[in-house]
Amino acid sequence: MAEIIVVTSGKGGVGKTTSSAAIGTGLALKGFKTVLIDFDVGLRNLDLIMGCERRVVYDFVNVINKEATLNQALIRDKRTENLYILPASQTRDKDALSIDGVEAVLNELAESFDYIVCDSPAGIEKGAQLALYFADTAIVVTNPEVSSVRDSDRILGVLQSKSRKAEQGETVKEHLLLTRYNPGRVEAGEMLGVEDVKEILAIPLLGVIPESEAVLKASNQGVPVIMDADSDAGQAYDDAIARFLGEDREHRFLNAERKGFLSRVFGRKS
Amino acid sequence: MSNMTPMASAVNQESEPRCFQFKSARASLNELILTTSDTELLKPQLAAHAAKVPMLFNNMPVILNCQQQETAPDVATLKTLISLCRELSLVPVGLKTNPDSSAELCTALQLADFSHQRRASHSNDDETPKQAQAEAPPAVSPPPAAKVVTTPVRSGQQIYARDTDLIILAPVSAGAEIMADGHIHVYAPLRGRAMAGVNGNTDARIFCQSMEAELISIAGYFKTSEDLHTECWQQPIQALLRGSRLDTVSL
Repeated sequence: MAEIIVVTSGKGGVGKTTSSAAIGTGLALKGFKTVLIDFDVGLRNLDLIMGCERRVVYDFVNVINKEATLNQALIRDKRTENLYILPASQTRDKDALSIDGVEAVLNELAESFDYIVCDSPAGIEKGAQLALYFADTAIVVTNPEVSSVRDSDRILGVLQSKSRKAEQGETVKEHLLLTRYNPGRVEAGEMLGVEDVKEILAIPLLGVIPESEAVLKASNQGVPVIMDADSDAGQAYDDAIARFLGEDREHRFLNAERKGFLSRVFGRKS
Repeated sequence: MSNMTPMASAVNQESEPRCFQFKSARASLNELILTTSDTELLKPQLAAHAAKVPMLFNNMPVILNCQQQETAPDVATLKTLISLCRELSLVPVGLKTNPDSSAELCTALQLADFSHQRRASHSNDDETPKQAQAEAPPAVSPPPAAKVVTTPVRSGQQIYARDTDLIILAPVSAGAEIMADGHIHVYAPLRGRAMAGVNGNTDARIFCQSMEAELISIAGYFKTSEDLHTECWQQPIQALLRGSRLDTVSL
């Protein structure tokens, strides 16, 4: 039985799709059969980040409407074994998704996959609610910034009240993934620190992804940043996946001192 | 002989154990506030109440409070009131009445005199007792148990404890709203909005371990985070109404 993971945040532009791509790829690299689903119908991005945009024929909405089978719509990742992508439709909107349709697709995927990673759209409306409804686990992506933290808090409330688990009286497992973290700016008091965010959201910290040039580069090249093992962000995602799978790894990239050391390393390379 | 007596008494004191001891015991006593001495009127009402909550009337000791009556009752009237109470399994142990005549009445009726105590507290704090007295009759029926919340209250969530207190054992996030007809307790940081006594109960209070609220309100009187920032930010405090002023007091 597959574990359904939703990558969500409430706020847009915090790194949900980047994180979904990294998490999906990370799990597949560890040998788990993983599928990434883009729930952002109408604003399809995941295929770009995964570098498979030219191979999209059918999409999630086609499968829901039974215009295509799952096997026709699933795109097999060329770099990583065990990894598949189910792209969103770019020409439709969120109303094209129905709860029964989503459930049918997830049930079918659950038969053959270990992990189903749902890349949620921003907001708390229908698209985001459908993305999180069937989740067993939520990875809440947050930037160290007050509005992002508040929106994450809101989505945590939605998770524990409107998800299927909540309706059955169970709880959705929650993980905090802090992205775009800049220790230098935290020390200068310009950015919220890890402890501040942890205190406000009160959920376990899965990982801290440093603000990194590698992320933008990876996005534009269509390669998940976790594949860039030399980059700080790639290593941080790798740590996060290891922690997700139960490994105990120390958090890195938390203070400016180390950041300074790393930037020196990168400075030498470039 | 002369020095025998003290010796003997000393020996006596040592050999016989002490037979009594005074100890402060904080027994809780209820007051039965009678707005009339007319037993014809009182009896059916009290009996109906006894039938509704027989547990309460199970030989419960009470103080008879006649201070709200226009004319203080005399010995004969009080005797009939006392026998009415005993009929209904209440045990009158004390009396509150006009302090000028209370000593006499209490000696005659063999009741403890609580009249002066009341006066003292009256002059100290003019508002609270009046409130308490006004609300005493509905308060006798057992209130619903407080609503207890153990998970974080997230931004956008609303929690309302109708007719009762609200106890929250997890953080209340900014953008969340918690409301209660009674008191609100938050044993964690309070960052959202908290409204106590929303049905107009001015005795309601708000308690929290760390005050970081966007807004607190009691019975419609409110303070915003701007005021709280200067008064008690991130402090453990309670908020209560003093007249029409919402005060925050360090815990």
